[in-house]
Amino acid sequence: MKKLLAVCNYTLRENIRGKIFYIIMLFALVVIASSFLFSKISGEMESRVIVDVGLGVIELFAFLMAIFGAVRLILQEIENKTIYLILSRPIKRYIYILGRYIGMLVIVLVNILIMFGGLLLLLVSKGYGFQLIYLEAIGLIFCKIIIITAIGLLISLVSTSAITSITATFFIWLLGHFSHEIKFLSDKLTNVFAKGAVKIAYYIIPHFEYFNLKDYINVPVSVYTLNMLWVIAYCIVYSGIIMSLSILLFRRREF
Amino acid sequence: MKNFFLLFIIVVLVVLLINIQQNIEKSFNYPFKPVTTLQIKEATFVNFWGVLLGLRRLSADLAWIDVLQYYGTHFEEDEHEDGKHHHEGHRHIQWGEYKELLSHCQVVIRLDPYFKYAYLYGAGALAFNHERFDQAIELLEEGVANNPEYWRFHLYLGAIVARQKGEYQKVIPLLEQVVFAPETPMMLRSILAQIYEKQGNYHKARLVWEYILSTATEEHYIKRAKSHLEKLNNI
Repeated sequence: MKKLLAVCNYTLRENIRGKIFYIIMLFALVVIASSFLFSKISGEMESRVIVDVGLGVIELFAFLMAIFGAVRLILQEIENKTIYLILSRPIKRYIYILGRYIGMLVIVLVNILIMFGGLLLLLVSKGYGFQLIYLEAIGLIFCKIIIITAIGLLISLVSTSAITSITATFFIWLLGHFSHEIKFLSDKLTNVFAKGAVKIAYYIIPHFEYFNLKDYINVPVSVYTLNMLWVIAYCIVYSGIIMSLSILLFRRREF
Repeated sequence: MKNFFLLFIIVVLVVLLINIQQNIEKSFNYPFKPVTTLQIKEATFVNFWGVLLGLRRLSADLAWIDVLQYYGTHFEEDEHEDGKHHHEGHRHIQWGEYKELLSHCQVVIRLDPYFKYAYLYGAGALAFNHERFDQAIELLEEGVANNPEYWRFHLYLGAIVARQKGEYQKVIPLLEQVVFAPETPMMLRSILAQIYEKQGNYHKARLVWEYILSTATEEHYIKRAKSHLEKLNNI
């Protein structure tokens, strides 16, 4: 546990020293503030536009932080050869990879909370109240980040290029939001093999639509009925599988 | 040995995941139609990427801003100070035809079928400003189909049908039931206030204009409410 915390701490310090996160966060805050301009041209839908732009920007920038961070976590260490220094110490590989992953998640969570604070400040300054569903939406955005960071990490262990890893992670992000379409496609297919393949793909890809509460704000609950406990369990188990695969791969990897 | 244990854990987690997924899907219905079935006349690059990135509401908002840019916000006809003739409830159309207004609104409501304000605004503009009742009804019927629990759509439908038949006395009680609802566009409130004025029901007109003045965020509505209230005070 102590070692895990030490690796987490190391990841946090590394990211705090790096400039990329500050730049992304600053840019995100500027974009959230610019939702004020969008709201000005949206007529009576001011509060809706501020919330939608705000939550959308938070998710998008948290995703960018997560994929760039996750891909850099191990690949950069290998490129800089600093990984030898760490692994030569009495630290188990699974501790190292879990520590890096958790540290990365903590830094993205802090950024999400800062951005959310910015959004709330904007809403309050415009005289709009806080709704619990905003916080729930943020929580589920973070669940998506937990999954995509694990996927980014796994891909970076398989791939040797950061660009390939980022591109592949990005496509999984898109596919995850498209899982409903995949189900729809599988229902339409008549070929048994194709149907089976699409069905398997449907179970393999992450179902980000479960976490897309920010899109369901005005949808009557009777239409989509989201059981939060099951959805959180899905996030934990899915990322658990991906992280287990990452540990498996990292153990077998020779440096 | 360690790796076999890890593989075993992965297999257990996969079984658990399938179970969890099936439990979620027992109650969860994805509330939007598949993108491939969306009938959008002119889907833009922004709409496409918005949906792909899981930002449907935001795409609908951008499409909504597009509607406002197309239709403008200062579209409403005010009093005919140029002396043109108009009779009760009949609004002389001085602005463009905005032939694409329906299809612009359809982009918004097909991206976000629960965007009630877009239905109300679009239908109100089509029916009361442009007298394109069939298009207004088409839009509202889609709203009813997508939001069966939202009873106010039925009242709007009733008001539009009554307006189409020229039965102005029936329009008023229907609009009265929805005028103070939070989703009601200011445009419809000001239409009702003007109908009251034309009927000589100044007390009710004043109530509606006062409500507009206290709730409107857009400058032109505030100005209009002030000017109407000033005129009503002089009567």
